[in-house]
Amino acid sequence: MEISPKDLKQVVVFENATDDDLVLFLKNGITRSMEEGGYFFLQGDEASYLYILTGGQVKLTQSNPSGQLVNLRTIYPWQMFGALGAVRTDGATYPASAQALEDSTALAVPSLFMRSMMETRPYLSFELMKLMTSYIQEMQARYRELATEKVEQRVANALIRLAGQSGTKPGKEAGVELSFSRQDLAEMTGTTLYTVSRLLSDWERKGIIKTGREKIIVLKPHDLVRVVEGFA
Amino acid sequence: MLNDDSEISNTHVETVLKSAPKAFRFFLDWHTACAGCGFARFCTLGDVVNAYQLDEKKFLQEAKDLVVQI
Repeated sequence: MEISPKDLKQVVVFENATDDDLVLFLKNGITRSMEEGGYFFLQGDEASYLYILTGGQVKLTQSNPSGQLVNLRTIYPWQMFGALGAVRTDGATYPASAQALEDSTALAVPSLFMRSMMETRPYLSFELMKLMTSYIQEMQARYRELATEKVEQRVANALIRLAGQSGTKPGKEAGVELSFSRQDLAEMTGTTLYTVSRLLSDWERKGIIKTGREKIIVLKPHDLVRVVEGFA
Repeated sequence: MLNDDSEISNTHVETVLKSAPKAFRFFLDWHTACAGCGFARFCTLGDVVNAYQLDEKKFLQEAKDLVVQI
């Protein structure tokens, strides 16, 4: 596929680029095709190119030392990936692998060329910074979700376990009563009083539990099970 | 004792679980999280049917067969 400067305008970082600049990028870039399942680069490779996907789909994955994979993001046509080599001057390596999810093509631009362009064209640095801050914000949101969802499951699990061990049926009232304080629950689950209070208030608002002084009444046991299973 | 559908429906999960070792398999086969759950002694089979939206007739019949077998 022949790529035109107009095509490149769709790349966020190139929104404000002049046609002359885009022609320069095209001249210095190489088109690379990758079959489904192939890798544009691997985690740890020297980051000598940045890529602009021109067709297909690519996923960025990072693996830990024992080989467990985390999916970082999926790249769609006219998105840039692997650009850190252009910014970092200390022999940067790719922090993730880029695998084609289907037959894909990309324009590979040498990192050094991108850097030299950035030195004389502030709009490029600015746009790249915009892209990076959006990535950071997304990662912050994901980190927050990970952290909070995990603790949510831990606390729900503790309630279920305690119900089995020490729950009582409070007279005529519906539900299962548990007698302990929020502080007890925080210590049992390795979290803070603040977090436990926030979760319990949330569940109380949803009608899953009712709280009293040093006691919690579970009104909808199954909804807690769903929290543990990650469905709520 | 368990001839009546409402009786089996009001039976606690824990009672069924304790009735026979294969009762665990019964709950697993129905894809519920009841086996090992802390609420087993509080939830009735009727609660389970509602929580998981199970085929009530079939589920209760199978539970009845299981408890009667002992």
